Amino acid sequence: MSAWPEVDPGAAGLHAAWYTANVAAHCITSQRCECGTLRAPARYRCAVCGSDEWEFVPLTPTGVVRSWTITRRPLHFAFAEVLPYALLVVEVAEGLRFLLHYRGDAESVSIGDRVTIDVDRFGLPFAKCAD
Amino acid sequence: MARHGDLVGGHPGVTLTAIAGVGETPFYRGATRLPVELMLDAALAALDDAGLQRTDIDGICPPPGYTSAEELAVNLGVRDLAFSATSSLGGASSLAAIRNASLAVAGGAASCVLVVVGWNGYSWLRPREGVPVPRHGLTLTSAQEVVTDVMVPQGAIGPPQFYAPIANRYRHERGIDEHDAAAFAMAMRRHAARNDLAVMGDRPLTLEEYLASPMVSDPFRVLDCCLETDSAAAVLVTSVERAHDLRNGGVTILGAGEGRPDPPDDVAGRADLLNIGLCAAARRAFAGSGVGPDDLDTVGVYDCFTYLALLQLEALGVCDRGGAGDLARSGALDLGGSLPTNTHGGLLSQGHTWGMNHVVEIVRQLRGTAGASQVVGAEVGAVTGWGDFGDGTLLVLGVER
Repeated sequence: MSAWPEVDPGAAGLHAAWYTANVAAHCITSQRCECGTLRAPARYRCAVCGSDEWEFVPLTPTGVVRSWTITRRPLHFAFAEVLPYALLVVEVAEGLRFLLHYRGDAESVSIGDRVTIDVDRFGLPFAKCAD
Repeated sequence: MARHGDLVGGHPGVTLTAIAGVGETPFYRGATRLPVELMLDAALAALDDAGLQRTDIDGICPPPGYTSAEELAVNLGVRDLAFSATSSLGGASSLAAIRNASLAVAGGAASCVLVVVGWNGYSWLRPREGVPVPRHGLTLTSAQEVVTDVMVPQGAIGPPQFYAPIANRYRHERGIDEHDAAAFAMAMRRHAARNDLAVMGDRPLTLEEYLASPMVSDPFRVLDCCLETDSAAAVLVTSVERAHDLRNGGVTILGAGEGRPDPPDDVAGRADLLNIGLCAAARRAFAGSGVGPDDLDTVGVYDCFTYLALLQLEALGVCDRGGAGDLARSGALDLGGSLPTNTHGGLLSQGHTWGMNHVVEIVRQLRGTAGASQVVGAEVGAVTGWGDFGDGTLLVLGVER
């Protein structure tokens, strides 16, 4: 397996802003509404209070694996070189859950494991072996 | 049996609706014509089945892509279209569209609605010289932004990866395993063997073959994944009263409902990965239908992936949580079992027409014209839909004998 192909995610709007915020914070972030509710993926308004006043805030960069898959067949040429790779559903301490690729031994992760969350130079978050 | 005359959808006095005609194309693995042309084939077949004329159609529910109500209308000679509607629930759209048609007829907006789906499920990934490509593909929904901007950069490209975390959580929480999934896949092949249209009709499946099938994205092996076909299917929805006088009578729409997981566009973000859209859809569809899960004589389940078909059987309520594996292994889903399921072979072994092929099969079952696959005495059936990121629909159908 070669290194993960680090490229600009090519996102637009709020999602692009999220990646930019991740780069600036050097860690995974989420929106925090003025009412205090955290949310991800990025949304225009808060599902709890309806406000459109928010900011990106850093999250605890560790989490617990709630589910997973290991992709073993190429579904797209861009990721053919890194097969097999694990995709994890990771829950952070704040309660938010993210789909994250895992940089490390795909076969070594299972439900309930603790992982560390890092971001690459484009702000793309990923999971790795817990420190 | 349902108390048909009294209620539909819980609203006294509303016109009862029925499916009066069904039609489908063969399942091509490499069609030479466009999806819209296949949809017109299916529409004409449904008209012929019902004994209706093209000009009887005054409402059209097209799929979310490949064509429009207007394009279908001009090619069918429908000159005064009174109603059209499209819902975007991916593969669950077919049943949502039948519900839209039913509401339109019940509410008096239209009297005879064509509901049609079709696509180039095989050919869009396999372009060939001289084969036309649709100018408009599947309509992108709001979910597409999260897919493109958040999921694809993670390496999550396609449905096996989007749904695999649901399936693995299902295995983890409810003890479902690969032998359960295999039992479902093998049952679909046994059904397909009796179906002339089935792509896998001549390909029986053994447990050894299933277990040797390559893993695509755990826990999905190649043989857990549905077929890709170029195909179309159509139904005609009208009032029960009008259907009664038509060539094949009507199969009554007893209930229909849709539901979405929370949030609908982000699988990972859900508090409960197993609370799929069908859970709410089933509650809504059964409410006021006069029937419940225990009354079903046969079922069509949207078997895009084996594990998800099992999860849907549990959400439908035909077995307990974690019980779908035992159901499949016991032979209950086979012809002669307690709940013959996907008697045409399903998406896994017949072909993939967004589950409208399941509706066609259940209608035939309830008419008593399912041939070698007939469930003796079938009077009540249901069809589930699954689409996008776990959206769900349920259609409950019945006949009185």
